[in-house]
Amino acid sequence: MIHNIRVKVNGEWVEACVPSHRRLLDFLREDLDLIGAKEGCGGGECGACTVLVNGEPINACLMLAVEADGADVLTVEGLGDADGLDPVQEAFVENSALQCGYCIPGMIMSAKALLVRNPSPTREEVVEAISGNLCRCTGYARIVDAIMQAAEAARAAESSKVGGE
Amino acid sequence: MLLPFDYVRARSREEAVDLALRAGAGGRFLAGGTDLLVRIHDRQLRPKVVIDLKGIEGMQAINSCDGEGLVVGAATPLNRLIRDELVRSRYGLLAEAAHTVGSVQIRNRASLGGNISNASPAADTAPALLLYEAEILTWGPSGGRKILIGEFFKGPGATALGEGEFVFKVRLPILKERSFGVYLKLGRTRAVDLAIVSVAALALEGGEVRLALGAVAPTPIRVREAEAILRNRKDKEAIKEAAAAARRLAAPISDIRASREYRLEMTEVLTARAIEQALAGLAARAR
Repeated sequence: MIHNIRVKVNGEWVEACVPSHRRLLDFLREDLDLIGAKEGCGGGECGACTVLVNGEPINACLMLAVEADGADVLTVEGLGDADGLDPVQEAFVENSALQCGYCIPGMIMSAKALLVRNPSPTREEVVEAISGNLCRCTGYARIVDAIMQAAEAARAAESSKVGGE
Repeated sequence: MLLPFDYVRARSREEAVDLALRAGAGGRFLAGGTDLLVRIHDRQLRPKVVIDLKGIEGMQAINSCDGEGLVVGAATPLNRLIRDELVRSRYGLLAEAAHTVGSVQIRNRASLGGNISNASPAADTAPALLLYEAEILTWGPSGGRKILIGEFFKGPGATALGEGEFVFKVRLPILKERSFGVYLKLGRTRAVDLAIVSVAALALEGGEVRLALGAVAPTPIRVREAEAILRNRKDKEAIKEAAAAARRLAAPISDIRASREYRLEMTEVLTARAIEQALAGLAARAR
C-alpha cells in the first residue's frame, strides 16, 4: 500500500509517496538523502537514529514514515544556519566529544531536546537524557561535558540578550 | 528495512475492530510501535495488516472525572503520562514505574496500553497497575467491556483480550487515602533493559501495604499473602516475613538475564527494601 504523506523536514514541507512498511529512518536517509541519522541496532536500543518529531526525540527506526504524516521532523542537518553550527554542535567540537562519530548525530539531537525542555540540567539529568544513546568508543564523559557547556553557553547568550535590551 | 505490510489508520473503534477481524491472524494493532516494529524487524512477526489505533478519539487523552479517578487513553505515550501533574501527584508509583521503561526516545512512543497488551512478565507498568487496581476498558466485536487488571494477564504474551479486541483506556480508581509507592527495578543496566526482578510496594494511610512482583512469574503478580503479614504489624520482623512470603510466591525462570536462584534471592531482598521505603515515604508525607 502506498501513502501520500506531507512532512515538515528541517523547516521545509516535503511531499512524498511511501509504502506502508517504510520506516521514517529509511525515508530520511534514502528518499531525502539526509544521512545524519544512522542505523545502529534497528531495534530502539542504540539511539543512533534519534531525530526530533514535534520536538521530542524518538528512534527513527521504530516509527513508520506514514506515521510522520503532518509532523515536524528535525534531523542533525537542520541544526545551525548559514552563519555556523548550533551551540550544541559547537560544544561537541570544542570538547572533542567524539571518536568515531557514529553516535554523534543521535547524541546531539537528544541533547538538543533536553536543553529546549530544561535549559539548566544537572549532570545526572544529562546522563539520563542520553541514556538511550550508546557510544561504543566510551566517550560519555566528554559528551556530558559538551552538553553541560552548551547549556551554559545558551544561558549566557540568553542573559546577555536580556541585559542588552 | 521491514518486510512489506499494509498500514491502515483506524478512524474509529468500530473501524479498528472491523479491520482486525477482516485481517484475522495477519492483523496487528499498532500504538507506539516500540515492541511491534522491533518484532517485525527481527522477523518474529510478519503481519499483513498493521492497524494504527492512535487516530481514534480518546486514545491519547488523560482525563480526570471526579469520583472516578483517572482515565488514560491506551495509546498515551509514557512520557506524557510521566509528565502529567495528576498522574504524578495521585498515582506517583505509575509515573515512577513508567519512567524505568527503555529510554527517553522509547518513552516518547511506547504506550501504556502497549506495555500491558504485550503482556511481558517484566512489563514495568504492570505492578503499579496491579496495586492501583486498574480497570482495563477494552473495545471489541461486541463493544466495550471492563477487565480487572488482576484478570488481564494470562501468561507470557497472553492476555484476556479476544479476537479483534484492543485496550481502549485504562482507568485508575480514586485512592481516598494518602499513599506512597515505590518501584524497585533490578536490571543489568540503568536504562534500555528489561527487569531481572521488579518489586512495587504501595503503602496506604489506613495501614494496608500492597505488593506486586514483575519478571518472576509467568505474569506480573500481586502477592496478597505477603501483604496480609503487614496488615497489623510493620516491624522489622514482619517485613522480613513478608519478603520471605514474596519469595515463596515467586516462580521465576532462568534466562539470559539471570538464574532462577538469583531472581528468588533478589525478590526477597528487594521486597523488604521496597516495603521499608514505602513505609518511610508515607510517614514523611504524613508529617
